[in-house]
Amino acid sequence: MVDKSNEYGYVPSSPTQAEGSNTGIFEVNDVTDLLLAGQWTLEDLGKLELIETQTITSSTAQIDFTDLGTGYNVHFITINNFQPATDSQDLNFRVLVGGSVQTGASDYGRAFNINYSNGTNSEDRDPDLDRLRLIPEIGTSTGELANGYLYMYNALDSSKYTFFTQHSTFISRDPHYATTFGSGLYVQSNTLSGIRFYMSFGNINETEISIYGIKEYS
Amino acid sequence: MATNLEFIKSASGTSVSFLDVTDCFSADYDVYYFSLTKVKRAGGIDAFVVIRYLDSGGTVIDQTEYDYAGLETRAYVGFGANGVTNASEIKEIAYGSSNATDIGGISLYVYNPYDSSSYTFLTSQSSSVRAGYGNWGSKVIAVHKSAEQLSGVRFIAEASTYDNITVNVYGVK
Repeated sequence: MVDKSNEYGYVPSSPTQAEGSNTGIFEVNDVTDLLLAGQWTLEDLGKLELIETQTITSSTAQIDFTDLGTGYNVHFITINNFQPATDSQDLNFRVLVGGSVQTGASDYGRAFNINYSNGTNSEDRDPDLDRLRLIPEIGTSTGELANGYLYMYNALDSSKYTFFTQHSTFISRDPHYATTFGSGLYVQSNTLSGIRFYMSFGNINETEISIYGIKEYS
Repeated sequence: MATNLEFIKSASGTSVSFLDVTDCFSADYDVYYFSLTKVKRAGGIDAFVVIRYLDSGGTVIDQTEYDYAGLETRAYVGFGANGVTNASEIKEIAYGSSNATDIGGISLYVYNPYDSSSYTFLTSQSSSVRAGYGNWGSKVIAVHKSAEQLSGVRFIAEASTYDNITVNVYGVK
């Protein structure tokens, strides 16, 4: 597009310019020309991009995120100050494909560790599930909240399973301060259209959940 | 305070026994995020993703300068805890089979690699699938016990090769 060869010595041909992969030495007017031609990017390549935040302040059955953006290989989800409406219930999640919640008996597998501040710990694992558990037996008394994050990999890749890693910190019904960390898997090669958070029983009382896409170079 | 991720570079390999992500550390960042979602192991082998660092000259560090500890979280059998001192590499980063979906996701953080006065620390978490068994995950901590400036990371396919591997590196700013 831009040929400034005379200013920098003999250049037989200028590199092909494209948005996101510009190469060479540019003057201001070069950038202007490339912008007009749609061959220069103003975006920051590689960053955390907020897709959506949902804030729950009253009893709600479920939280559906139905927009996962485009082009992301990794999604990062934060769960802030989560509390169920019913004591000792688990925060679960399922994925959506074509807008439909996936509930097959062996659609999911999970493996995470639970560590309690009283020194006990346990394994929570099962290779054949109809849902994924994120945080177990969350309390409802004052201060008994859950916080954590979830990475989701390959959700938009139709040729791959969707994988999860997670880490949470919470106060259980006992009450004991506790943490979970581990992995999960949606055992189908599908492009996801969303993700649903819900309780093992009852409603969600309060929380703020945000989903981000991690933008890559490609 | 960190406010964002800034893309540094991407590296890819095909039919390789290891992939070097070179010159990804600098004075611009203290903390680095490595994201791996496209890792496919060659057929027939179930084995670990292993890493070693590259020193400031780009030479792989294979001396016994690593300590690491990891918990394998497996959906199909009891979990396994492993800890090794004075190792020549960091194992447990992820575990993969050669099936079509292979290794799903690895999020790996490296702390202070460019600081010549500090050890380099690592935390990592993975989720993959072992063919015929189910979900395999790991949570790993590691330290490189030499106060020196590092320039990159080598991702090694234990006992095998990678059909494909792509690594994206971000600075936490």
